[in-house]
Amino acid sequence: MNPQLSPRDWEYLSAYLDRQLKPKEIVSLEARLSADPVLSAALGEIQRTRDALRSLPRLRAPRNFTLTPQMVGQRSKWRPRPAGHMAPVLGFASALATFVLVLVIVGDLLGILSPAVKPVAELPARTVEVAQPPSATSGLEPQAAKQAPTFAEPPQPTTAAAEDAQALSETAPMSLTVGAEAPFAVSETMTVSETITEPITAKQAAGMGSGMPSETADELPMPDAILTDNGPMWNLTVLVTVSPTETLIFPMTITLDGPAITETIETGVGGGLPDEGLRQVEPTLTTAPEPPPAPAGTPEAAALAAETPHPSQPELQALKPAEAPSPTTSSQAPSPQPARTGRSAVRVIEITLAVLALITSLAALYTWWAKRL
Amino acid sequence: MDEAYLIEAAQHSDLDAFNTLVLSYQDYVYNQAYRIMGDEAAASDAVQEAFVAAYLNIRAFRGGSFRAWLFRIVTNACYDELRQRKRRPSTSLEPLDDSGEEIESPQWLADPGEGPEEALVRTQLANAIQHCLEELPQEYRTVAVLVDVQGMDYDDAAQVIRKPLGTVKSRLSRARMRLRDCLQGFGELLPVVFRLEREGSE
Repeated sequence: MNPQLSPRDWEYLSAYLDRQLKPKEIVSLEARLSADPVLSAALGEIQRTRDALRSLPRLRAPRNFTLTPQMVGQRSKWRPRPAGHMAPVLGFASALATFVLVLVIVGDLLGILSPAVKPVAELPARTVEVAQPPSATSGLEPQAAKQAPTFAEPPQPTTAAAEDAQALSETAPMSLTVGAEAPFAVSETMTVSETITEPITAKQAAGMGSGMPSETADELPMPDAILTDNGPMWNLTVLVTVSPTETLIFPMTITLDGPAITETIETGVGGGLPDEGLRQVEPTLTTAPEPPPAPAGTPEAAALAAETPHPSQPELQALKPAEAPSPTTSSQAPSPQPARTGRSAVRVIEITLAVLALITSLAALYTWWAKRL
Repeated sequence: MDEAYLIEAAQHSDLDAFNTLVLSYQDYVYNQAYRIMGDEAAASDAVQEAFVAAYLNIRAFRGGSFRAWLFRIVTNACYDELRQRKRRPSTSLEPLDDSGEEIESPQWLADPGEGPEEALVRTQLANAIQHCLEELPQEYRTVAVLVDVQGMDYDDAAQVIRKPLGTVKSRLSRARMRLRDCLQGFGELLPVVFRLEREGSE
């Protein structure tokens, strides 16, 4: 390097050769070149160097570098670089989902996320309503008391309380009326929407909506009452055929608990039929307590007295849950189904979050791995 | 065929259209890779990697100089390969002389074989320049190859290296100064034409 020239001079000379100087700079440099032989000689050296570089032969590619679909497919499989920009989003989503998942699991283990058991009064669909049918006057006669169970449109109530049941059943897709062979006429109107709708297919539901008798209910003979310390108890089984391939069996226990009638469906198992008809239903249903006696002289009391065939026979009146405010029934006979439903919801949330966390984690890991390639 | 049409077709996954572009540019791209890396096999690998990467990312091409865009990709591929070589130091395959010393630049000393004198001069000069290019820092070498070997203007060179125009000017000037010093160091080994020109200029 010529010590008399600064790097700036060399840069000017280089740019001058390539015509990259501004007009003013060109005039100034050309004036210096004409007056400074050292600078002019340096320009010659730079020019020869550049010419030497330009004289390099243009090499021909040793082969064609055209791509094949296989090459591109393999590369696109192993080098998904476009996904790199999603890494922060996926990472954040993964972390968030994992955090929420941990919260849900811990909450579930501690029980703080499980919904409290609701009183029966708040769960109308789970309440068995005991109605006094018009034929209750002949309730002691088995044939009169035994009614063919229906499982379709809501039953036609014959009492004012049954009207309430009708109103209640409007929210339920179907009702079940079970006749009972008992010392007294018992007609139970049980809304089973929450239990029955699950196995019913959409097609069957459509049939119900159109009023088609696509479902029938069978009934097993009502056994004799078993006398216990708490009063008589009946064990019966209700067989509900919702389709040619689906049948629900409801083993039921009816007990008289003081003024209230507690009726428990211990377990419900569909069986004896094709597998697709099997359903596991484990509800516990509690009837509303007997309402307090109507004040004397009221129309309700008169109607009740007229419909009561026997003084010792429990008065069974279909009641809406709202009309069964007895704290005893509501608090002492809670239904475990809401808790189970709540836990099922928590399980669904847990599974959803687990899947989301897994997907986002894998995506983030894949993106991170792809960026390293 | 129109380059813009081919690029647009390639952006719609038309591999044949992209291969047409490959055939048009592969010599330029290979020269760029070879002048940076100085090794034929490594240059071929870098070129292949560059074309694959170019096809997979061609939707990111937003216009401008397609050649500059390709050169940037192949230059980056060369840098990646050079970095990997630094991380994996290998035993030198340079031949040794009788005293056990490594013979520097066997390519420079390689006998090109019998042939026309002009071809010999060209080969000697090319080998000398390639040797001096490899002696340059990587960033200087890239600019010198882009502008002086490939004939690219400053703007395109700045686009390739993603640096301002002033950076291209300064790097090119320093590269030329070092190349001049390097070539002068070869003394009598310089090709006759270059030596006579130097002597004539002094």
